[in-house]
Amino acid sequence: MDDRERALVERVLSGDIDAFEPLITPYRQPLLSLAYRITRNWEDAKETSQETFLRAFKYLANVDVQKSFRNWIYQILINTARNLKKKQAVQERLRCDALAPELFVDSGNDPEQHQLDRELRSQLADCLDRLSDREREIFLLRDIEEWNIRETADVLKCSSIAVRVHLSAARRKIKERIKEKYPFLLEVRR
Amino acid sequence: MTCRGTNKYLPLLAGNELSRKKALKLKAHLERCPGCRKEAEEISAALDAAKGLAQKEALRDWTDSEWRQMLKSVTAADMERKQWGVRLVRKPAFAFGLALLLFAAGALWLQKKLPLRPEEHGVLQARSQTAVQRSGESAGQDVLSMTIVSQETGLKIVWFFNKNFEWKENPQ
Ligand SMILES: [Zn+2]
Repeated sequence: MDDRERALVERVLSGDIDAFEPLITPYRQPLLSLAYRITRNWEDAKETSQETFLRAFKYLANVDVQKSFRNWIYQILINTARNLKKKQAVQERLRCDALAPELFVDSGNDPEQHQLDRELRSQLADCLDRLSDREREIFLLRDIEEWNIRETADVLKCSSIAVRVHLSAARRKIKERIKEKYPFLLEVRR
Repeated sequence: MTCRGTNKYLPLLAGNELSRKKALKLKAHLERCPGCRKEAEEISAALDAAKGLAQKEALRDWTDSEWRQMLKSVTAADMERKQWGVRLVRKPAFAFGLALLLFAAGALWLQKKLPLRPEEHGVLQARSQTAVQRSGESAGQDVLSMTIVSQETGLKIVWFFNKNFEWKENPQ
């Protein structure tokens, strides 16, 4: 982690809890977005993010200041999202609310923009739905968040080879889905 | 390179994750193979399309009040825990007393759970005897006897083991 992060971590650990906010603020929106893309609804995304910050605060003493704070907190998020998913599976309340209208960003009174948001949202979500959990995590980190292979492997606690294998499978599945359902997306880019 | 061998690496070629050498080999194959070239173009285009969808996707952020509330609950839960610790540290006598009490309770529980006087239930004796004379056995042979006596019924069982661990029960 950089000097700023290291100083903030030390301040929090010495009892200055106000230093926690500037430490996590850079991750406020990115973590929520990733959580949303993993869990596919905003309520779960918020729960996952909140739990992530809670754990980060609770276990801050365990963080290795020589290593990346970003990787550490993303790792917590991924594990939290997995746990939430397991919990939900157990409780048999897997929801399918990707299309619930109230969960879309309010596009004001512009119905055309609203429709566009809805389409974009459902196209990407539909593609991500084709992937296994592991493939989705890897695809999101590498291709959407643009992390490199090594960082992705580090956060997911797997080998670079495993990342490459799952990434290949994910990209191929997404290509198949786009080709089958949204071929116009390929055409405009040619 | 074969089509099969090429195809395997096309998703990684699209993401620029192959070594220069490998990428050049693949590109040489793509130059002369329209089938693989088409597949490579589709994977690249699909990857760009997915990234484009993600970029255009309108994402939410916490509202400021949600963020404040979230932060407050995150730090509050931990503060409570810490304050307990601090209170204990600030009152060492109280902490020491509490520890002593816990220790005493633990010791009592252990004593109840694990009886330290096995003679209540039976007696296990093991002693080494030497030179039990038998016909056909040489003097000085080591024999181990083991006696178990039930306190309740008075039943007594004795085992004798020779050095080969062959045993006899109540041989007398
Ligand atoms: Zn070919």
